[in-house]
Amino acid sequence: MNTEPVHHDSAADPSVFDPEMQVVYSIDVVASLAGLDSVTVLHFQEMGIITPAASEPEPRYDDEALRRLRRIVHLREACGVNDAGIGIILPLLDEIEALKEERRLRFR
Amino acid sequence: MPATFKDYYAVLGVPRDASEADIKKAFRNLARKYHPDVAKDEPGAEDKFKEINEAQEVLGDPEKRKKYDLLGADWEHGSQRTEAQPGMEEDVHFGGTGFSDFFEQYFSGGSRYGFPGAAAGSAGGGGPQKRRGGDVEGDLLVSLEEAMQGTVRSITMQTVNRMTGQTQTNSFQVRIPPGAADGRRIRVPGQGEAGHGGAEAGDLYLRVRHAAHPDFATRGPDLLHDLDIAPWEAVLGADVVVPTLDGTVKLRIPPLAENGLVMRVRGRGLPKGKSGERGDFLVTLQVRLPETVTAEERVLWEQLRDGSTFNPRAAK
Repeated sequence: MNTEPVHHDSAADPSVFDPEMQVVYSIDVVASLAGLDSVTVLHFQEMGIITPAASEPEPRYDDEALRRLRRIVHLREACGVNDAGIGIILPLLDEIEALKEERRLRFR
Repeated sequence: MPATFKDYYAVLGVPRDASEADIKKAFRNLARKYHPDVAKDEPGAEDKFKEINEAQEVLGDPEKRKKYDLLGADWEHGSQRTEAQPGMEEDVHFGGTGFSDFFEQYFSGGSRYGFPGAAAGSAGGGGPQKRRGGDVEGDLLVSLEEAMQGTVRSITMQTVNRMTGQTQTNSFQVRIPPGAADGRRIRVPGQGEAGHGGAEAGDLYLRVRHAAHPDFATRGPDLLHDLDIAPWEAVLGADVVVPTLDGTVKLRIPPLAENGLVMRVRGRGLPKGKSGERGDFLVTLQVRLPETVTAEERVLWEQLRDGSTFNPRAAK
């Protein structure tokens, strides 16, 4: 709020982190960013926990998918949760987040 | 870094037992008064606007308000209650997010679920393990004008190691792309928790929170506005000039418009990505009734009553 509005043509300053609007990754890239192999990513996709942002012609994953994969890694490695547990926990986290969002919107 | 306690009730000028409606009303009035568009030349108006928004973010949400009330009681007794984030071996403080340190400490994020740290739960015991740092999440207060045009934010992040007390401060700038929707997360690689045993640092996810605006709300890329209209405007139709975030639109209210009718103006919402495409401007009609009537108006309403065939309770 304290900065001048900046338009896209001034995107030259290299010290400014410039997020891409709709960045997507191949399965190999998203897997390596999350510290997993692509078979494991597919496994969680089949469990319905990860959804690619696009599936044609090849599956593409966005930063939200990456965040979920990181969460999975954290649950598995730091918390010792198995796949069945992850299948319960992640949807619960989603639901909590959605409910919080709904509550926030209701009171504004 | 002890945050200073914020008296959100004083910020909004409402008593501690104010109703939800009172809080909403107080917020609307103040937001209108201090909105950057209105109070451009008034020094301190921008900070005030942020403060009002923050107060609304907490007091406008019953759950957060409850927490805040408990916190307030604690605070006055001097017991520093640090919100435990067991997932982290470090405490993280943000600057430049648009929220105060106090808000950051107690109400931000919303999605740090307190996973136990690796030290507590790692399967293989002992030995320095190579482990990637955890991801850190934080909220970023963005005004609708900023969301519309995009902006650059200077963020400072101070991490305090729980064990050693060592602090480290990182500063960086992040571009908020035009059209950044409420709830959208911006991933800043490598700005999360430091890695262990030489492993990579985690990432920082900054979640965009649109500041409440006295006139507009957003839903994804769509911009929402409630338009108050008179009963005769609803019945007879009318042309009304309505403000948007970038100029105005002329809206033709059709005759016999129902209360709550939503009218869509295509392409006048927030930008969608870089394509130049934009969301829509959605106007909800709210038929308002006068709070007082003059003697003349009363005569007119009476004529309407006597001459009208309308029966709202007729069996359909």
